[in-house]
Amino acid sequence: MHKPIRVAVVEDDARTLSRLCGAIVREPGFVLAESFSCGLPAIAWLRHHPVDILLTDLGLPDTSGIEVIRACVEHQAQCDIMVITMFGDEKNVLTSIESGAMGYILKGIDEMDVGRAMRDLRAGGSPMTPLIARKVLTRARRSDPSAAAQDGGTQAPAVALTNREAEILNLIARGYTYEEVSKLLSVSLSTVQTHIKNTYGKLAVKSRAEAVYEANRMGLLRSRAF
Amino acid sequence: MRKRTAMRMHIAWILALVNLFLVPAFGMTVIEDAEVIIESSGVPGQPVAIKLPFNWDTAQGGMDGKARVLIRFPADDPRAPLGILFSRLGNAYEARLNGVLLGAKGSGNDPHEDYSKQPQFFKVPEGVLQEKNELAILVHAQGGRRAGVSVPVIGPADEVHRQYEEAYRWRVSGFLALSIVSAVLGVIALLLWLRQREPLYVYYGVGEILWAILVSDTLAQRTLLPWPWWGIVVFSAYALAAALISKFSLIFVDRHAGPMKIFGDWHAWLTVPAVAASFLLRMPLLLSVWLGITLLVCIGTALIAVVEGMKSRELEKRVLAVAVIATCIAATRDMLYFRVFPGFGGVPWVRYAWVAFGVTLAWTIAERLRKSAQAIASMNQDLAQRLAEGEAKLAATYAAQAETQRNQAIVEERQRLTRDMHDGLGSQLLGALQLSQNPEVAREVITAHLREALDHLKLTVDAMQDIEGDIASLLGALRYRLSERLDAAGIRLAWSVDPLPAIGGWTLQQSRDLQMILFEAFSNLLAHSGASNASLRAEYLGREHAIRIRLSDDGKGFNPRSQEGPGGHGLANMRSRTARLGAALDIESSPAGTCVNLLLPLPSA
Repeated sequence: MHKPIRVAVVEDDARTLSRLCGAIVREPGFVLAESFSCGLPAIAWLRHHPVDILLTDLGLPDTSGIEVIRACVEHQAQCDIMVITMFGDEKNVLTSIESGAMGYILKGIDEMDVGRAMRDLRAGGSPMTPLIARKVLTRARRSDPSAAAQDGGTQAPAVALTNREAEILNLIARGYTYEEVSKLLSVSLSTVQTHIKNTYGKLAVKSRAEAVYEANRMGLLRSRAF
Repeated sequence: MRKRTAMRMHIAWILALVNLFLVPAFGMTVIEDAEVIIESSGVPGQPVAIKLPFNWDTAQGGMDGKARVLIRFPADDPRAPLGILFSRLGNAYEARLNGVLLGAKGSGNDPHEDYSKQPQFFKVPEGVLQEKNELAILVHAQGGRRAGVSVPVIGPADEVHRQYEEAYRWRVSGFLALSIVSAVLGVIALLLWLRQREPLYVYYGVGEILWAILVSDTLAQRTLLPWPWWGIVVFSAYALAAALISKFSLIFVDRHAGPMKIFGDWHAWLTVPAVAASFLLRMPLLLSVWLGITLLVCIGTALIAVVEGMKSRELEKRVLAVAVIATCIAATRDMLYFRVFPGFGGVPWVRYAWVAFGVTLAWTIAERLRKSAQAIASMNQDLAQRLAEGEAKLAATYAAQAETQRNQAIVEERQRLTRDMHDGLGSQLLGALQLSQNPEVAREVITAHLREALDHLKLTVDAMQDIEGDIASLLGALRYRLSERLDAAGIRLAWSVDPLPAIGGWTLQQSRDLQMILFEAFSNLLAHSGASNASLRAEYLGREHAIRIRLSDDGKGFNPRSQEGPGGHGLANMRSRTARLGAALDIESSPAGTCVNLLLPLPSA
């Protein structure tokens, strides 16, 4: 029998937290390691308690979810981080990805879909919305020197994508599902997922200062997101 | 003889400081005692003992005539070669030593001739000199032409010849150079005047040219006009040149106004008549008085120029002050030397001092060039600065305008969101609330209602992202939001979205409109069609330069023209949004299915 997957949850909205915790507890193969409604205790706890999956909200009362993500990346390299977001909107998700998150789940999600999302993630399937794919492609184009000149080069760090990665993102941006993409490109679904995951890795901002700057710029550190 | 000479010499020293012709060098004899027989109107008078120099005008006023001057001198060694130098002799003359002709110039009755202006040197031929000698000089004089006999310098031929060369250098070569300089400066100034029309240049230019005429007179032993007309020309040139240079100086120091200007103007206008009268009426005193007035004009100007020059920080005004002072000292000295103590045979200093004006003008022109270059440079700098200021102002205006536009955009966006909330989410929540208050309504219905409201909210959030005219990703995002509900409704959606050209200038409102048109179409598909298969196809039509989006299903269809039933309100909404997009909407519906066609034209490049 496999070792159960340990999950920690950080969410200040009590109902969402209890819903998520309930979903984890009920999901076979998953155990709820700990849950928090504030960021700082979670950061302290994460230093000493290894987990396999961290679910965190971005807007927390005491600190930003970005900080929680950073702390987790720092102390637990093997941990998969998912952001809990109301809308899966490009700004919040992309910033989380840049901080080291590998996926996200929507707040309105059905309980049974929480388990599916977590399993997908453990299996190497990171979610990618069309709008996020489009944004990532825009950044990749910016790494092209000719485009960078037009852009002024002042925006978020550029991303260098392989042709295949760009191809996949392009299809996703146009609304194709992972399955459709794998059929159109005649590759396996897991190959598509691997490419997406690699793209996630490329998006992660390496320096903490950059992440904090990005988060600050978007007002994530002060205000609660939704 | 020596004692009297000493006193005269003293005055000469004070006046002339260095007057080479009166300074006896070692071994030289300066003879002052002489005897003169004046022939006026052809009648010879009685011999009279005089002191040299013999100045005909002083002796005879304005009359023409001739005089025989006898100079007696001893010779210690009659065999030593002897030279005799007259710094002035004429107008025409014939010189004989002990009856032997030493030299002669001019016929004596040609009024064009004047040989008195240049120094004359005679070398005594061998065998002529005796222990006691008589030098007989016949001079022909034209009244007022400063005829006469200067003090002769007698001595060893080599030494006297050296003095002659010295005198020649100062009075002939030097004047030649001066007149050339004056003429050149005058022409340059007049050329400048032609180009710039500044009175400063014309006064200076004419003044210099008159001065060149005056100075070159010394070189001409035969004059262009006969005496006394030539005299009128020369003296008028002198007085006028002084008057014009005075004007030049006054303009130079910005004081060409007031009594000094009026005085100067009168003097200038009356110069030619006064000089002419003095000559034609044979009144040398009038000329002296007039030259005195000229000097007054010059001194008055000089005082103003010096005062202004000292006050001014401009270097060229100081240079002018120095020039004026130098010229006035020289002119005063000359006036005293030639007119008051009628000196004879000296060099007029003023002609050399005059060059200072040339220096002034040259300096001025150089300064003006420098200043104008500087002015241009500073003007350029000023211009660059103003340009920068202008640019900054423009940038500020632009920024303010951009800010205004941004604020306006924010206001518009806020209004749009409010409208969206009101029409979309608000009414959906209200509907859900009303349903929940009705105990007969099933929970699932309320849940579906709330889900729809949440989807609506998510779409609203998506519509807030600037997709930069990328319609394909707008379609993709819509599918992402709706896939759950499509799956739940059991509708299989075939998806085919080509890469589409980005639409320039695409706004959030347009995103929202397109999104809502399609959302409405999907809502109809989900709620009313009963379809199990649907397809969405988006492509770029090159010929129409438009994007076509086609959503079709195999449902039961509806009547698109009906205001009742499925999508009544929704259809009107779709059409108004389509109109706002400038797109074309075509809905075909039959019992075999529905096809919604949207043609979105691209702005022409």
